[in-house]
Amino acid sequence: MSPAAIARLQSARDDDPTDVWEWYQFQRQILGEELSRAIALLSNSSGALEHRAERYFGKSHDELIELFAAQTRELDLLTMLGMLAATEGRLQRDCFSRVHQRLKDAVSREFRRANKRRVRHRQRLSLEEDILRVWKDNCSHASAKNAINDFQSLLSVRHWLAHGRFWLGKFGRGYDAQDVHVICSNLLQVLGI
Amino acid sequence: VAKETISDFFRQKGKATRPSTGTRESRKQEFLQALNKLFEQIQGELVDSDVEVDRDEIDVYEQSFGGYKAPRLDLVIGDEAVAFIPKGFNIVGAVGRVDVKGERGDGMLVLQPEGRWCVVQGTRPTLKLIPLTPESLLELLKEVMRA
Repeated sequence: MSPAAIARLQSARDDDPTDVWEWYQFQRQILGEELSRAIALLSNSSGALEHRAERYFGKSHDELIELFAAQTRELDLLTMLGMLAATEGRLQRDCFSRVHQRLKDAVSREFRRANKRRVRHRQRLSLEEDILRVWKDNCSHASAKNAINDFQSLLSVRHWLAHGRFWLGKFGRGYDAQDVHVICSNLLQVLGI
Repeated sequence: VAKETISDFFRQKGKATRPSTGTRESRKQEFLQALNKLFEQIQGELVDSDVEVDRDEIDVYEQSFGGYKAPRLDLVIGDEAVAFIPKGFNIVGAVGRVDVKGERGDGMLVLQPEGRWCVVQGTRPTLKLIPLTPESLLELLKEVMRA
């Protein structure tokens, strides 16, 4: 890895899925409050609307609910992508630091071996083929293996979101933002990252 | 101080959000009367035309107010039709709404609190309402019907 790349990685942001989750809670609260304000406009039959509320003009109760449901759906999807990206960032930074600090544990040694192979082929370490594989091969607890499996199942959602949802997403189970938060936080916790 | 129970909580919430039966009924009746007047006004404009006019009833359902029957109006000109379909009276910024559905597009009429029908010409970036007149009705029909 070049000195410039190392410097870039060392000064990188330290996003965490929980930060994204807290941001999401805040946005949900704001959306909920705005929905309450919009619904309250229905009982104001004087017809006078402040300029800010004109975006809701002419809408029925059901249409307001549908409008805010669509906002929440979009917020959920972007939050899921944000949490998956933050988790990937944490896994990548942990791997980088193990390789760079030449730690002696089995996982770090495996990461260094994988990194050497990748450098020879002018490639970067892959999240799926290197990082998650090494963790899976080197963890003895069933809970850690389950956490990795759960996260790997989510990667199809991550790819779908990150590539602009241009295909019809078919996932074994429907995930929402809370599922993704639980899976990502659990993974980082059991791996001690 | 008495402790609040879950039932108290929901009772309070219901009171705050559910309109009284009197309010419900009077708002519905005002809307239905305004609808009949609107459709008579439109039919009045068509006296000397070849337009076939159909009046029918539809079921309207509004959250917090329930379901009721309301009139709808269909204009048929040759192989083309325009429908005036009541949406309801629990509407943001208005006391009634009728959707105008043509083959080229949709329009919207809203009932203002003073009992006047207006054509919605747009809501973005600013709300633009113009009173319903023979001229604005003609413009609306031209917009929603085939060229």
